[in-house]
Amino acid sequence: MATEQDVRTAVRSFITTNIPDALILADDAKLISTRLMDSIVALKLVNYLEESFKIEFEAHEVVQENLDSIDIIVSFVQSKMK
Amino acid sequence: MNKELQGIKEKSRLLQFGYFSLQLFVVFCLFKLYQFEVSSGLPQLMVYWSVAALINFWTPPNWRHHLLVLTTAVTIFHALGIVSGGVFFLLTGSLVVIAHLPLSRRIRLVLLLLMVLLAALIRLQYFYMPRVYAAIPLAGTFLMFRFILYWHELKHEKSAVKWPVRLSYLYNPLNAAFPLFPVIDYKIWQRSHYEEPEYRTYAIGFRRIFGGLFLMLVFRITYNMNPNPANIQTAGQLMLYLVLAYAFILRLLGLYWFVIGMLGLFGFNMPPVFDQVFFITRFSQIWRKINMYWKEFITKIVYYPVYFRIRKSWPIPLFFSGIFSFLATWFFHNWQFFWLKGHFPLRLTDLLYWMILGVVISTTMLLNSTQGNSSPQQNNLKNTLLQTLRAAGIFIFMCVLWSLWSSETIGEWTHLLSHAAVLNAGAVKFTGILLGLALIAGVIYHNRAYYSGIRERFATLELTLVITTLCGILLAPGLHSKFVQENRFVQTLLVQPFNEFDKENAEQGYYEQIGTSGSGNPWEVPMAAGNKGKWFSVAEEGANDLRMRKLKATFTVSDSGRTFTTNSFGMRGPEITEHKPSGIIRIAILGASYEMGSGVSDEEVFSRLLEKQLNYWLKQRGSLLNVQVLNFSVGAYHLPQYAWLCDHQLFRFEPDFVFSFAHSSEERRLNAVIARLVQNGQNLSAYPELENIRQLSGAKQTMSRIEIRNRIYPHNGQLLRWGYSYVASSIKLHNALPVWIYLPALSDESAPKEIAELSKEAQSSGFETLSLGNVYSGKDKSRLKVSTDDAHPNAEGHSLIAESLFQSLIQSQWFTTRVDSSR
Repeated sequence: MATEQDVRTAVRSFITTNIPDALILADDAKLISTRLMDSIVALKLVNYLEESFKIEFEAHEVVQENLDSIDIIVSFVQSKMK
Repeated sequence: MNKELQGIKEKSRLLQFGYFSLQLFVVFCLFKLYQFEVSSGLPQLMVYWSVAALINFWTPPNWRHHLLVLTTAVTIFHALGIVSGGVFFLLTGSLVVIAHLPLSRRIRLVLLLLMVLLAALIRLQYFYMPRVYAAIPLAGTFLMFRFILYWHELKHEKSAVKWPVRLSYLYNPLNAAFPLFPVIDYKIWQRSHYEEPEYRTYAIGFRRIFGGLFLMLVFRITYNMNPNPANIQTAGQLMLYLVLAYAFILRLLGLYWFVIGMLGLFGFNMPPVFDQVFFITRFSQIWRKINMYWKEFITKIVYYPVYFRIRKSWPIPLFFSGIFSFLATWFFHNWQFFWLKGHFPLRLTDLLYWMILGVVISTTMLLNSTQGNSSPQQNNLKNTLLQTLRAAGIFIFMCVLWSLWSSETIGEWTHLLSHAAVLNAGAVKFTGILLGLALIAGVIYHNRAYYSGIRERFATLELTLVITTLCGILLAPGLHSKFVQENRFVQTLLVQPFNEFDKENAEQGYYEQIGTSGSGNPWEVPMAAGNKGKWFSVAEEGANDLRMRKLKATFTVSDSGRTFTTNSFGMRGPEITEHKPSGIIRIAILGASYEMGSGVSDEEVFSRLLEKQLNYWLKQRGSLLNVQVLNFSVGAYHLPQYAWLCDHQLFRFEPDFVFSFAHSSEERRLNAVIARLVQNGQNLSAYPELENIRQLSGAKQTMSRIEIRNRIYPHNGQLLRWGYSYVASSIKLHNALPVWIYLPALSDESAPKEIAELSKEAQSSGFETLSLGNVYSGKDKSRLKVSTDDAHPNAEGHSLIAESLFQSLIQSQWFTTRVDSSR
């Protein structure tokens, strides 16, 4: 099972690849509420996380509360893996 | 937090309240002066909201949601009255209670749908329930979207939300004056309440309010410059129309900005609704930059659920989810239209608009999703030029697409665009202006870091202070000087008169149609569709001839002490004999709604007042003669109807004088009447010249009204000459005196040149002429109207017209000579 660090590295890698200006982001920097991440990138992230960690998202889970920063995403993915 | 804000925090709360009140006072004064959105009832409700905002300032945090709900209750009862207001809360409250019943979600959903069905049937007038009916549109505007979101979130709610928060979300007081209320997200509503320091939230709120009001003022300018699509003949006019019609979104943006600014005064620090709408550089940004709240709503309710359902079974699910989202947007716009106006418009141009937008945006989103991270744009000249060109291209695309949305039919749209082939100097000039604007936008884009630095430096307080001062200057007494009162541009800002197109009550496009109630009372909904809520409209009936409609014979209808009576010949006025008795001078009046006395009681119509004045005058002169004024006027009559009356009715009554009334923009009015005749398939063969013009123009019954009008437009002058000449010669043939009388409409500005030209035309056709051009001089015209939205003269207006006409008549030699010869 993936550790928290594995999840964090994967999420960070995805974010820096898919969001311009994200290279300098801190792990608690806001992604959705600052509109850095739009709905398409959010869906791409969901697909990526599902494939990487064998988890399944539901439509209502693609929201700011679960995806607004690297920290929040890591925590949410971990809760799904349990 | 910067030093300035820290300093403000340290100031006493009383001082903060003083500044808060001052800004609110400035907003209030701006409302008083500029009368924003009168037809929506905004100025009336601003009083309640302002008081509520002041109370909210001192209300303990736990009670602030309660205060909002209480404000809504006051607002609703003000708008609908006690009974319909009670019905409003019963209806909407039932939905909320059902949503929370301890039953399975499926059963609750069925119950909710049954309630909605019942409300829809009442909206469609299946049942005669006027008090309930009156509450439905407002209930619809409150819940048609927010309740969907609420129901959606209820399913996934993790922690219990307090009831006052739920209720303040569903019962938002501002919604009562905004049928086009932004679809606020339920979670953002909860999260944004005082999430920022209190004072900063208020400051942002005021900045947005002033920004919103500014956009509404800019909209007034663009609105009044917008050409009537029925008159467009050249590429230059077409370009101007396309751009200014699209500028309608300024009104929406202004309203939205104002709404979320007002919410700021109640502690809600909402995210922006839009972002650089006129500088969109990618198609995929159109959706999220123009109305972010709507995009979030559709994403949550349609886009994600559809995507998750089809992602494993459909090819390119991202694309198809996008298409479904735009189909849903099309449906929801019709849904909104239904609750506000009572029917589904279901226009092909509407569907096509959303589908074109859907395909373009979904395709670009799909393409973007297959690309990885593109490195941040270098701020060099090449990139600036590229971005500016993209923005200009998307802007033009949106202008053209918006014109499709505003068109009734595809044929009307293609005909409109066909004028692009008629290149003229105006097109070159307009292209130059657009290039200049693109250049300015490019310079700003190139130096965006610098401008955003300035914005940051001004944070919130200083900016609102500057804006408040500027707004204060706008309120200066100089604004009420004579110069300003007579200056057309400033008047455009101060009041929002109908532009030429809307004067004919033929508004175009989706938002334009649902943004106003169409009656004097913002919250009034007429029971019978299509009668515009006028109390006397039941006195009219259809006519299967060129008149198309006429007044019922021997009919009386009353409303609030006002009466509308017709005689046995279907004229407004008392009973008369067909044969003229001896000792009587008859004056026949040919006119439209103004002359018929739209909105006033029988005894207040100027024709009756004139009759009394002339009889008194004759008596004073020792004459035994009496005057009878026969009013043949009916709403929407013009020269074709006058011609028909001359041929079929008028001369049975042996008039001595026939007064043919004219208003400003005669050609436009005549054009509209002819278009209506063509669209109704009226046979024009009895008037060969009319029929020839119709054939020459290519206008056909199957075309939209605008297209017919546009085709007839080049023949307007010829039509007017035909009408004047036909009516004058008919009158002379029957030994009566034709008199052309110019009566200005209250919604018109003074146009001496046009009056002179029309008068000359009438004289050369054989009319005696009179101009009542100064009839309203020295009077506040807004006080002479039946209501804010009804520009017909009220009793005082009619009294002025009668007095002016009387004075003009007794000073006219042709009148006194004819009267004297009748002794």
